[in-house]
Amino acid sequence: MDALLSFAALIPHILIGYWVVHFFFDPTDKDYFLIKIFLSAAVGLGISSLVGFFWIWANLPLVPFAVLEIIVSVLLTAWMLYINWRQWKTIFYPFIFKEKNNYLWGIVLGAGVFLFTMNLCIYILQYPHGRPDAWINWNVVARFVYLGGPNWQNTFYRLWDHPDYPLFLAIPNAITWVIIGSPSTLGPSVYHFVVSFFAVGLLFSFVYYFRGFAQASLAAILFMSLPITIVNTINQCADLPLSYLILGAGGLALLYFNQEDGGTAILSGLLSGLAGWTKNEGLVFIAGFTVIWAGIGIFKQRLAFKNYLLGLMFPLTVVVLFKFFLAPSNDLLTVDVGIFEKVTDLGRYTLILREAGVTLWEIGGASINFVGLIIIYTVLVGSSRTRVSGLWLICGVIFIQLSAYFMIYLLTPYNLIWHLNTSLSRLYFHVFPLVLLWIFIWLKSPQELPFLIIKET
Amino acid sequence: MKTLRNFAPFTLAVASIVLAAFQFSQVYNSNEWKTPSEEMVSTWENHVQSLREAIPSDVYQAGYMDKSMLGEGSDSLDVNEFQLMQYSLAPILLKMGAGEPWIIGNFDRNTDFHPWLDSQEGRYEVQSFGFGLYLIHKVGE
Repeated sequence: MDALLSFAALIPHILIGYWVVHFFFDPTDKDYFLIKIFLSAAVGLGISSLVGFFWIWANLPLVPFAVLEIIVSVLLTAWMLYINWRQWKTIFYPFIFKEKNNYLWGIVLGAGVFLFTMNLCIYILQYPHGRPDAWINWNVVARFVYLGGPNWQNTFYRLWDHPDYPLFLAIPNAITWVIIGSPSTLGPSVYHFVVSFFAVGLLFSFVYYFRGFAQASLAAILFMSLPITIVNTINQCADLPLSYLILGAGGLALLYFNQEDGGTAILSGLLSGLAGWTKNEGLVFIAGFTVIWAGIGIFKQRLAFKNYLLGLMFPLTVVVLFKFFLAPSNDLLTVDVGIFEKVTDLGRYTLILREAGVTLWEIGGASINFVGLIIIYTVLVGSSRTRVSGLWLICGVIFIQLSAYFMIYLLTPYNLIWHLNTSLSRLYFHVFPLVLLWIFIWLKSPQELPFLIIKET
Repeated sequence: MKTLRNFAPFTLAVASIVLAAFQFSQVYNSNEWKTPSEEMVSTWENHVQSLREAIPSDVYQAGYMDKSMLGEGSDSLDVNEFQLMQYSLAPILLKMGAGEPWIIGNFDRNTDFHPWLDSQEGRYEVQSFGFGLYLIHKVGE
């Protein structure tokens, strides 16, 4: 019953998210349908946690908020269906693939989804509370919010962990517990289970939009099968939600570059801001991504940057208020007198680059070397003949994010080797789905190879 | 080479599926998933349950003591157990030391905290919950 309620508790967030996304997209473009569906969890969970934050900050009880959210989601859905009933087919456009009779890829994708589900379920059984970082830093906050009543802010005084982390995860999990009626471990488990499928779905839908079903299936299968994805899902930390948001923001920027639809710029800004509301690394993303959007504004269309800032405004305001009035300072920002020595120490550069190289080579966590496999695959298949403009954006986002992480390591107040060993793989995972998006849009799709040419319909 | 290239996408997809199946089989055969109650945090939560229930519902802060505060030095503090305790007792905020009216004692079997307690001013009530867990209450506060 708890599992069922945990799933049901996420539906109001997702419904609200869907209608917000729908509002900003061109509703007549049926190709956006999948992207809209798989963006809805990011937007819905984000908006719920932002508004919920103000609610609990005002010391209002969480129960009426959960009830109110259910009512709003039902009324909004009923209203949207009512006013759009004539365009019903446009809103819920049937899930039609561009290539029919592509059963082979459908079967393989189905097998991938099945195994991904099985892998997640078995790990959830094995680690019901998640891995240590989850119960030390994330699920414990949800317990404070759900059980603490007006004393929930005690969470900011916790010792020996990171009480400054934002609340993107904690508030929806606390709302789920309100609906279940107890702080069941299934709440956060189901949350991460669902978000992981939305992340996979979003990767699929972006690649599908640009390269078709077979290529999208291949990207999704690869992402779902790698241990790095499974581990970062079941550990119940914020890395998977952050990867999902970075993928969404980056993918929308690419979509904007190709379609110039102002709504995608606003949503890209919103997701970028939500990244900062998910993890502190998301603040780094906001800074770098804003530079990218400023570039789009200068070289392509000035209005684009304004729209991006419009979307960014609300979540960024909440993050600033949260950091300014509630959260204690971050451990990485402690006063460190040795900054000059660190910046001028060549040994630190060498060490970071060496460890980053080794971790990158081993990324994926599989018994088969992922990077080696992708290099061989790239050499074999080659780049697609049909270019997608603006792919440099994705490269830019990845480069800026990784460069910022490099600087954090360079200046870290912690023991550098310890810091690298405990976080490098997780940091790579933040941009991992975006890297896959870039690779699979750049590479030749199976349709372009003679073996699997399918008659276009 | 051409054949190899044309088969590459499908080969990569099938290899990924095989990898996912291999992972699943490894975890399945480990059998750890069959006994989630024996997982470390679940076991800890079970140990702490009666202690948690004994704390009055209007208490939102408590002290925390282990052997590191009985003269064994801060190096002997088990941070992992402190974090587990904080997770299990949330929303009660744990503070290091005996400065609160309600104190959680987390000692191992070889540690006797009673000499320390006797040296303190005031009267204390002590409840034991096994596994070295104690709830210490400063009476009269």
